[in-house]
Amino acid sequence: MDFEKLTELIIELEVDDIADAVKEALETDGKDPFDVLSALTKGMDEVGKRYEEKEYYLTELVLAGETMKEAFVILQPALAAADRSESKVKVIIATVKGDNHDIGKNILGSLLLSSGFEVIDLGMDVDAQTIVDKVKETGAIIVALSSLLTMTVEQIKVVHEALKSAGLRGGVKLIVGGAPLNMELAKKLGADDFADDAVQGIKNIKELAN
Amino acid sequence: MNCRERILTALNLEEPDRVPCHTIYIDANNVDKILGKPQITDFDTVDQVKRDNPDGWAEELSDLIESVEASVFSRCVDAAVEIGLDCMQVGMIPLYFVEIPNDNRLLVKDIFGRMWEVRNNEGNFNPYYLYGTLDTPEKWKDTKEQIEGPLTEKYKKFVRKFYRRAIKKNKDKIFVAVTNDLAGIFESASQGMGMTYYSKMVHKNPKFIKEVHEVYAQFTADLYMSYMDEGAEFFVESGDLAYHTGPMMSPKKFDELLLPAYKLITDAVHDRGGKIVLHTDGQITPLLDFVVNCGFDGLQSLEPTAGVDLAVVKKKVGERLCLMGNIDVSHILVDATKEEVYDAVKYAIKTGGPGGGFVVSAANMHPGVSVENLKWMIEATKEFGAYPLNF
Repeated sequence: MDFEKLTELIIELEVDDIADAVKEALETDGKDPFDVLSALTKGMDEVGKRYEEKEYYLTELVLAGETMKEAFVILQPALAAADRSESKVKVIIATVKGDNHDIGKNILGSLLLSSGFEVIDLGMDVDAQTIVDKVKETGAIIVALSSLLTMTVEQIKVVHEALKSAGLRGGVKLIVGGAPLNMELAKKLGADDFADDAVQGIKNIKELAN
Repeated sequence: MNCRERILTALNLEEPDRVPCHTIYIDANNVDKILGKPQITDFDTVDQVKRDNPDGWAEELSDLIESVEASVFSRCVDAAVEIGLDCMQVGMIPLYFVEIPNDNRLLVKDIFGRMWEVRNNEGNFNPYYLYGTLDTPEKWKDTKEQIEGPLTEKYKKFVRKFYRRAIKKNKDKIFVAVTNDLAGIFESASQGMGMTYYSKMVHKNPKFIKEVHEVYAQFTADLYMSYMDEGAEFFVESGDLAYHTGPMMSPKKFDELLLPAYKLITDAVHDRGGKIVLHTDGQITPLLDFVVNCGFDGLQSLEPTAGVDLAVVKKKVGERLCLMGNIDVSHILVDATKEEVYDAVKYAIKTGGPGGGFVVSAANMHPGVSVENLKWMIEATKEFGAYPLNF
């Protein structure tokens, strides 16, 4: 299994074939898991490019994200076992309390994984205290929140205030996304940054992490 | 002109006496603010049934769904009349209550495989989509059989009674449209399967997706014909085809997989002299030709905060589609000043109104919309919307 093939499987959204391909690369061919990750990342980068060029749309992004997830089921233990002393930037992702939308969050999660971040996915309908506790526990320096309902955007402010009260806000960058939001509203709610979609989000998070 | 004449004239792409005013819904908490709270709330009913029938409450509540939905929409129409709208929508959602062990949420499922949590909006039911369950070929086979068979027969009868009850008091005071809001073809299919499985099938088995859309379209068309038997003339298909930055799928895929299904419905409605528009918020501009080609008479939402430029839309399709919408629900109808609301309505009328074929409408609706701001929207439409326009 060569690296080009792995990259192609991501680009072509081959969700049913990727796990076996990664397994073959690692176990049969003895490839370095970090080189496998690079090949997959290259694929996701191309997916992002096709999305920006309007060749791929949301359904392709969702499937690409799922393909990456399938790849990571096999790859993650191999990366952990490789035990390189690379400290990964930890990013907490969550949909805010009261909101059960997760498509954008899940796509972002896959893009973050493929870009070498450590992703702590808290799921949907997550209250502020859970986020604060997870920041304390993990030392995450970026919190990415999704709010797709007008009624729930105020939860972003709740998270911002909760992080402040816990003395953590200074050490965390807060980035948000979702249909009712824009940069102006995001800043008003206490966020540091806003992204229109997951593809923009990964670019912004890479900048925030530097 | 009365409300019906005004709306139909706009749908015919002509100038009525003034620009009409419409919303897709008024949330029940706001209906209560307009009309006063009912003596018994939806959740009072739930509590009562659970107390009286702890082992069979889900089935009993499911038997009451028709009454609850008819009551909800009947009050919605009452509220719409009270505040002076020209048009309001009604439409039943094919739901039933379910109990899941160790899950304390109040849950309903629909015939398309979607699970919803029924949240408490100041005593009123407010359904939130949770996830889809129709994610295997076997489940689809069962669902298809049910929908093409007993469910169509059941709901054809259901909607007749529902519609009669929903419009009984007000049919001469407001024009009532029928919608499949929350049960539109695309959202039912994609949410019913869950977006992951739907996306996978779009890519790997598009014929299957096309089939699902067409089965749901036939179901919708059959129900719309039953509504027409009761006098309904105007329909709003719930699309939700786009999100903040663009369509959910490529225009090419929409043409291939959804256009035939939509055409099935628009042809059925047109064959009986009705009108039908598509509701879809989000950035819909790349799909304007698709909307025309599907046979719709109009497009509703025109969400400004998703970057939909009413001037661009009017120029591109204003002679082929009645445009309804463009009043924002994230700020203008939530916490804007009266002056801001008036400015938004004036802009919409000035841009969309010339030549007719335009209806002022909220881009969407949610419980956080302010009744006062809604009233300002209606007042401003009546103040500035008389034809000939004076801008």
